[in-house]
Amino acid sequence: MTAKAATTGKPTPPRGILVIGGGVAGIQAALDLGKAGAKVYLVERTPSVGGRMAQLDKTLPTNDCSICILSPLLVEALRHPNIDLLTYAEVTALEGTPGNFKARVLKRSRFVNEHDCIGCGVCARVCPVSVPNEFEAGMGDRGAIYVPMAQATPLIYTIDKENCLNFAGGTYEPVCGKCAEACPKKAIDFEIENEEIELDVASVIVATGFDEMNPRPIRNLSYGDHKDILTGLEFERMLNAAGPTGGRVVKPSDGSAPTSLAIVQCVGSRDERYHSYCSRVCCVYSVKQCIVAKDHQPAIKDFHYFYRDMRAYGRGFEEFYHRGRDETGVNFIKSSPASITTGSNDKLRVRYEDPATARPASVDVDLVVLTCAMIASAGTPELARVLGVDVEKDGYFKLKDPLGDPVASTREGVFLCGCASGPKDIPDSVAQASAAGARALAYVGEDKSPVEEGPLPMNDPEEEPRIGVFVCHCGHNIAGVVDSKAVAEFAARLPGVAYATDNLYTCSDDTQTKIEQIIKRKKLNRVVVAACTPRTHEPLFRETCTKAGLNPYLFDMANIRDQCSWVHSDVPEEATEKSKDLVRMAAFRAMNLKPLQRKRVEIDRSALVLGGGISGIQCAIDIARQGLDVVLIEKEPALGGLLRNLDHLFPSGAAASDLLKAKIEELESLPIAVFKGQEIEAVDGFVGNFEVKLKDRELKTGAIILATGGIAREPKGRLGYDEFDNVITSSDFEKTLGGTEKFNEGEHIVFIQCVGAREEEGYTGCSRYCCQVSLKQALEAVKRGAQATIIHRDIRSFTRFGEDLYRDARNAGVSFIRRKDDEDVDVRGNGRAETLGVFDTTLLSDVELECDTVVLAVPLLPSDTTARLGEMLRIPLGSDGFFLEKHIKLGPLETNTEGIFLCGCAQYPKDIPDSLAQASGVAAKVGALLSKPYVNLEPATAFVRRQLCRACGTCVDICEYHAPELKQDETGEYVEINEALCKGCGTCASHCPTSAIVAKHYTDEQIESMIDILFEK
Amino acid sequence: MADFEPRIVAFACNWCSYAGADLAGVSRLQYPPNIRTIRVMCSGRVSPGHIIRAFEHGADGVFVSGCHINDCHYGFGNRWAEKQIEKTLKLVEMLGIEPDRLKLEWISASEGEKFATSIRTFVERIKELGRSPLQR
Ligand code: FES
Repeated sequence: MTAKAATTGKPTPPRGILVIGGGVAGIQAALDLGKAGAKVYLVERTPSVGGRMAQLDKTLPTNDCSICILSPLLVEALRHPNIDLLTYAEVTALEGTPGNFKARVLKRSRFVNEHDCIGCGVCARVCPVSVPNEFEAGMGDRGAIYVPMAQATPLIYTIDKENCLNFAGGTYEPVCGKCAEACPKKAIDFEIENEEIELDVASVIVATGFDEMNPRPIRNLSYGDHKDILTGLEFERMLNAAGPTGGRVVKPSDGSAPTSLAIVQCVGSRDERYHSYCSRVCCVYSVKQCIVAKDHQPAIKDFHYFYRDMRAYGRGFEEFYHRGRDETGVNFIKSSPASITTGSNDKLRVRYEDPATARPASVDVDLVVLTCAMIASAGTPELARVLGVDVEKDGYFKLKDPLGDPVASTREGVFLCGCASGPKDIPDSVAQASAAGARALAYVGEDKSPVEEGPLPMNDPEEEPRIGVFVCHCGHNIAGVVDSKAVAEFAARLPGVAYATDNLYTCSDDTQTKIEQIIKRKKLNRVVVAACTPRTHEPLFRETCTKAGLNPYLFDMANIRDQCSWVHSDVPEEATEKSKDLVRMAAFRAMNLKPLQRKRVEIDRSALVLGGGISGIQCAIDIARQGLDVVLIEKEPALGGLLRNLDHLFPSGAAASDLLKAKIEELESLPIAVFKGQEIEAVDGFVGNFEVKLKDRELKTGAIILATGGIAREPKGRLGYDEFDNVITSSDFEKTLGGTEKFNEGEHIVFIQCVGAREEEGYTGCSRYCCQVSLKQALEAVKRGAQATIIHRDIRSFTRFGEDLYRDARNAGVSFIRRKDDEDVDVRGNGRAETLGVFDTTLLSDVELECDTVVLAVPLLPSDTTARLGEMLRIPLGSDGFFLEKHIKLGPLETNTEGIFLCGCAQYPKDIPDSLAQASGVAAKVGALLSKPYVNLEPATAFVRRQLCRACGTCVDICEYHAPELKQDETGEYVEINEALCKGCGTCASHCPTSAIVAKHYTDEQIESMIDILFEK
Repeated sequence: MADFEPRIVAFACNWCSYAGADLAGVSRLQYPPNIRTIRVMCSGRVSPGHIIRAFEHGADGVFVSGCHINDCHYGFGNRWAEKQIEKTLKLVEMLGIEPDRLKLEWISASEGEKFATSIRTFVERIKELGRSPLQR
């Protein structure tokens, strides 16, 4: 372990980067950095990584299973040669200067030898202690020796000293010892001591996430008095199929199925008595919980959802909110409950003011979910002291410049990402994580060593098969049920098998060496391991094969533990028979396996940024800072994009022109080629090798970044915009505010929100930034002597400090009228707009307002070039017309096409900090991609047998990645699959009517050989 | 036939369903040992040919599982799988095999329980149906 080498001092490992916190943000940052070649120390306080996201059931708006999309990243981080995972550890000191920090880390003892633990869990089964499991938000139990969850990464058990009987007196006194006895690997050792590690790090990333506020102090909501009142996180665990109730929605008080639910928003958030900020994610996650709850428990008939402003601001969120309303039947009530008490028949009574009548009302429900504020994670002040950085008064780590730099802390070389600097959803957190990665990377200089991937050893596919079979006991885990010896003996008699044996632990280090020797000695040319699951262990065994000079694709696994001994423990004979079958199938597949070679393609280590707005500029800067070549292309004659239309910026009040000037100066100080007044006309090629045609030149580039922004279109035909001169847009008004002129005493400026956004037709989503803009403008207008009114549907000031702005505007006297969702404002006048008519949903009556100026907040729409570029680059567009990201949660910066990235408003509307974070984040991705002069293409792709192809085009329709391409030459039409684009899913192969397509490594032959042998008499 | 033990071929996509099956194991959920699973990268890889071959060689049932709709690791492989299965069902019927012997199920990586129950139910159903008509 390199960390240990650091303590002894020699040889000094390269300066690394310290990442604190192993949630999705920390993991993302670590992976980006590791791939870019930096040494990463990822320190996590708890026994396993995954953080909050690992606790979630589903992610919205797609209702993707959270752990399904997260765990591949966790495993990747665990196995990455550049990443040292230090779990159950804490940073205790940080000294030195940026670029040359010395960090001290305390690695707490698990009392389990990390190297030996195989994660079988026998110990936990015998532990006599039972305490609430933090991971289950207190709803499930665990022993004193435990893993937080079944899919824990790393899967190593931990003894929690606080609760272990042997430490009852504080120090070790042998009392129990049951776990140590039960452990098949003798991995438990009560005398293992804490370890102090010293690390040389160039920079630090803080990704410590958030905690959920305990709502107990809010007495009127009665949390803690009644079992059927849960917090949002507790409810999330209940919904999780792997959670304490197995996904069943029940009343904790008696285990019965609830028929009605109340959801209460903003518990402790947007409340100056507790936390004045908006927690940013609750509105929609509760909608998701309603949808999932209904799915898991159709008996629930009523969902009473109490909210203040529905902040469904992300991509697809507005539509998701409507889905909750229309499909699940959630009853959205704009009101904050006054109290929750015990009602009749064991129900809970929620009292509130009915917004429809403005009268007190109440409803009795079975279960209440309080969506509590996200607060800075426990230990933030201590960690801040250790790191020498500041915290905000709301408890989160402080950003030095929240507007111009969304990741820099108050200490140089220390960066913040994810919820460490304030509440955030998953895509914003991972974008920031990458951004922090890009910044941190700039401090390691040349101390980078990207993981080299040389060519794989190749074997002659025609050689007579000599299969080696290794059957694992996994201690007692397999052998306790399955007769591993008998399986190995059975395997030895199979055709083609040259060697078969059984091992106690096939995955242990010494067995790897043994396997390596046997492969060489016995001249094996195929290997089968019958053990646990290939999902976690295939990479390890493949590595062993490669080391032994065997092509790693000549390896197969039979899963006789997770999918056999563990699930058939009551029928050992059948389990043994099944294991034999699985081994036989694997051996026959192995016989048909072909060696595959990674294809290495040279790449052009340069990037091309499309769009010279603030995102494009920032992205180009951060790429150039890594020493890579960058070209920036802007279609207008000047740089700046949307920012050129802005005057003063929230929250700092800085002039937009100053920010822009500073960024352009920085851009110009770097070797970046800027082409203004240019657009791309054609693109060809693939990752690492794009050829881009401009008007007057051709460029080669390894990566393309779409930073093409958006455009605020004129609201033609809306609300008197065509008729009246004094009906203007936000950007027009921004110009009015450009000077310092006062307004006439009492001049009335009326802002109308969502003009052309959140509509049934056309742009259905929320434009995300307009509420903030109108609040800022209204406040400024009031300061300069005017009166201001904002007519809105919900005020969505969800951003960092956005809620403060909303409060300042209210306190300064800005009036707010919440209109109906489906009723427009009536703008009347003669030559000029004079009066406005609107139904005020708070007063429950029509109101009439006189106005001097009407400001229409219009949404940002995709820029004109989006559709054309999308077609040219084959990047799909969302239903909103913006470019579609690779994954709505975990891939906000990538597109479906490798080597093409996106940032800023090209993806969807965003404010400056979010755009900048994305821009820097993309730079990290590009840095990782271009860290080596080549890329290796996945070898298990599909190819077309030309003689059989009839060019029907079925595969072309199927493939999401546009890998198959119709081609033509003298002999006629045919399809060719571009290996660089193919991801190897094999769907095309199963659809090809002439079986012309072969899915390598999952060929028909290979699949069929498994079927055939299974039924062979 | 009280002691009839059906032989079932299961296909599971690597990203969700295979992981769900693993989770069933980690959670020690018990289900009948009648299935033999073939891992594929995506449920879209399973072709009518594979399914029919399994029946012809002796399978009493074929179980195909993939990620939930919209969760497919490759976008829409599972939607294509769904269509393939519909098509295959027709072929299966033409061969005189009861359609219940072919089952498609969406199982996520967190649905260990669902994997176990689905297998339990499927095995039970096949037991009711008895040996495959092609094997009688
Ligand atoms: S990857 Fe699971 S269905 Fe496509």
